[in-house]
This record gives sequence, C-alpha cells and structure tokens, in this order.
Amino acid sequence: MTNLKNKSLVSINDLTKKEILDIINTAKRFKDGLIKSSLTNKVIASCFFEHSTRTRMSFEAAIAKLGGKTIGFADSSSTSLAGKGESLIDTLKIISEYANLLILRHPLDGTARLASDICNIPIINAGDGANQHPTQTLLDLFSIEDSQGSLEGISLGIMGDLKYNRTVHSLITAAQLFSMKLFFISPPSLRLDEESLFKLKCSGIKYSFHQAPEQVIDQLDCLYMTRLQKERFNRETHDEYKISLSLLNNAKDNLKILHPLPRMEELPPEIDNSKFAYYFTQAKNGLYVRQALLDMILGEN
Amino acid sequence: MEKHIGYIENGINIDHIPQGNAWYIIKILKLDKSSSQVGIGLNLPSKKFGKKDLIKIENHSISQNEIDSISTFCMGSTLSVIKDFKVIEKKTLELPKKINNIIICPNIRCVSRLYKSQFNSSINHNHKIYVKCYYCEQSFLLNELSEYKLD
Repeated sequence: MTNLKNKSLVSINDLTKKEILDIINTAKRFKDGLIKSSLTNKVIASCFFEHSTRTRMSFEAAIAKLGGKTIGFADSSSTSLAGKGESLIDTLKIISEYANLLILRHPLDGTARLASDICNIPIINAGDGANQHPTQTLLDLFSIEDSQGSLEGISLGIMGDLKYNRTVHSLITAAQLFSMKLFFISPPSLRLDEESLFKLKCSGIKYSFHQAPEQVIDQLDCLYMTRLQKERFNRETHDEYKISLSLLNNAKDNLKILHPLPRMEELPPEIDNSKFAYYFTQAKNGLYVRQALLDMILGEN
Repeated sequence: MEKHIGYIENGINIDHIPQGNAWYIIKILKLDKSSSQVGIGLNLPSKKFGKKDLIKIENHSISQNEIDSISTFCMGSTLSVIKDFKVIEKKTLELPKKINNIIICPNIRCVSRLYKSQFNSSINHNHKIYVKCYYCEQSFLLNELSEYKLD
C-alpha cells in the first residue's frame, strides 16, 4: 500500500500508477462498506473561491461520513479576501492554522500548487481554473474500473470538446498509464491540442480520430462524453455529438456512458434509463473516491 | 568595431549573445546601476549568428544564480573570467533546468503572475526548447515568450 499520509494532491501528474490503483482499491472498499469512520477530531477546511455543487457537496459528504468536521465557504464573496482586500497567500496561511487539511477550489490556474508550497497542512486540489481537477480524474478512473472490472487495455471513446476540456486532458494522461485504446470523437475545430498529441505519440498507446460516434460505437467499452459548449460548436456540427438510443443499438453489451456533469443537450434524459447510463453512479463514486483520499491522507488507521 | 569596446584587466566578458538580448542581461545584472565600467557591443558581426551582442564588465564577479538568470537570454554564449588581461576561465552558458522568477507566464489566468514564477525547461524531439510553468502546468516555446520580470 502506498503512503499518502499528510501528502497533498495537486495534480494527477504527481501520482504514480501504483498510487492511483491503491486509491481506487480503497474507494472500492468504501463502496463495499468495508471501512468505517476515521476522521474523528479532524477539522477540514473546504474553501471554494469559485462555486461548485457536486465537488463541494461530495467532499463535505465524505467528511461527514468519516466523522470529521468541515469549516469554510462556498464562494469567496463572503471572505476578507473579497471584502477587505486580504492577499490570497495570507488567507491560505491563516486557514492552514485552523484546519488539518485544506480542500481548495480557485479560479486561477496553479493556485493549488502555490497553496501546497506555503501551507503546512496537506492540500487537495478541487479544481484550479482550467488546469487540474485530480479527484475528478480519479473518480473517472474508478468508474471505468468499477464498471469494466479493469483499467488495462480498455477501449475508451472520448467525445466532444477535446481541445479546451480540463477533465479530458487529465483523463488522457492517466489512460496512458493503463495502455487504454483511445478513440477521439470531435469536430476538427475541437480536436486534441498539440501538446496532448505529442505526449500521446511518445506514450506508444493506440489511438484514433473520428468525426462521428457511429463510426466507433460498436468497439467501445466506455464512452466519456463532455459538455457541449454552444459557443465552441457551430450549429451544423452540434447535433452530431449528441447521443441517442438508436445509436446505442450497435453498442457492445458492456458499454457504459460516462459524463462529468453538468450535461447539456449532448446527453438527453431518454438515455438515463438505458443499461448503458453510468453517469449518476459515476457522480456517486466521487463520494467513495474522496472518502478514500481523505482517509489515506488524514485517517487514523 | 569589437576592439573599440576595449580590453579589461579584471572582470568578465560575455560574448556571442544573440542579437538584441544584451539589454536583458544589462537589466538582470543591474549594470545600468552598477559602479563597474561596462562595455557594450550591439549588432556586431558573428560567424555563429550573423549578428551578436557583447558585454564586458570591469571588476565584476558573477554568481551562479546570476548566471542561471541570464542564461535564459544567452544560451550558447561564452562567459570568460579575466584576470590581469588573461582569460583564466571560459565556459559556454547552458539553459538551466529551473528558471526562477524571470519569465512572466504567458497564461493570463496563471497564479504565478501575482507571485513568483518558476519554469522547468526541456528539449523536445525536434530540438525545440520548451518551458513548463510549475504552477499552471502549461508549456510554451522558449523563443515565443515575450514578457519577462527584469527588476
């Protein structure tokens, strides 16, 4: 078992394959009810300088289930930072004197790394601007593992905005550790950025590009969808990146659809009751992954 | 022209600076506020680059930190230490692995723009030099950077 005790989680790039697998296995034990409370007497600061619903609530639910106490704020407008112009560094230093761990979301890229350097308590990055959101990537990986029984060699389709989407970039990085076969489905204007492409080339894993989901749906174990942001799609291509029940007629039996949520038109509610829908379970898995992380970093086991 | 800049008795000589980059070195080493005599050559002929800059500083020693800072702008330049008109040490400047507080991150959403910057350098398969921000994790081509912290 790897030792994450008192360590910060800033970026998925900081984790080894073994550490990722250990977090997934611990999350699985939480899901199966095999581990009990262990954060009694711990105070956890949940500081969201930018609003979030799922991430913040699943962290706070995870803390509550482990018997810990949460302090913090859900948006920065009520803090001295906004009201009195206190510097971010001072705010972070002071928070780290009150709590045993800091869960941080901030709109600026790199804030979690800065916080991990200046605070004397462990930090969990709950999203730093467009940069990293490592617990999302971990829950995505846990969801693939949990629904398919393995991460190794999985055929993973990733569809939608591959250029600007933060979760996509981190997922691709992690997928390389597990020799997944990647199918990228996007309009040409939202294809993968140069840097990710270069890393993929170096990694030696198999990948291919497609313009429509019909071309590959019968080959996929998991289909990871991203939110369609209308301003980045033109009207004509928009509809091609929606999923439909008729499209899923050709899917493999074990196919599961994942989506980081919130969703837009790309994932219509008619899919919710199909056997392929996994996104609500995926959101619930976020709770187990965050319980696992909190337990491994701060737990008294 | 180069000979008119003069010889120095004791000090340092930075030669083969890419044309236009002497200014960055003057700012980083604060030569405009220094008590040393400084000779500056701009747009001199160079076999290596076509044109080059050159700086000679009398009675000046340079720290490793300063060398690391200026190397971002004069990679491949030669640094000579002069004593009694003789070169007693000569080395080619290399880009350091870590570049601290020189580059302003081109990502306008990066937290380092408010604080200190730190970049890690690497050379990719086609010999292009990339720098990656320690904070926002974005990579940039070294020769496409345009904003620096010089004071």
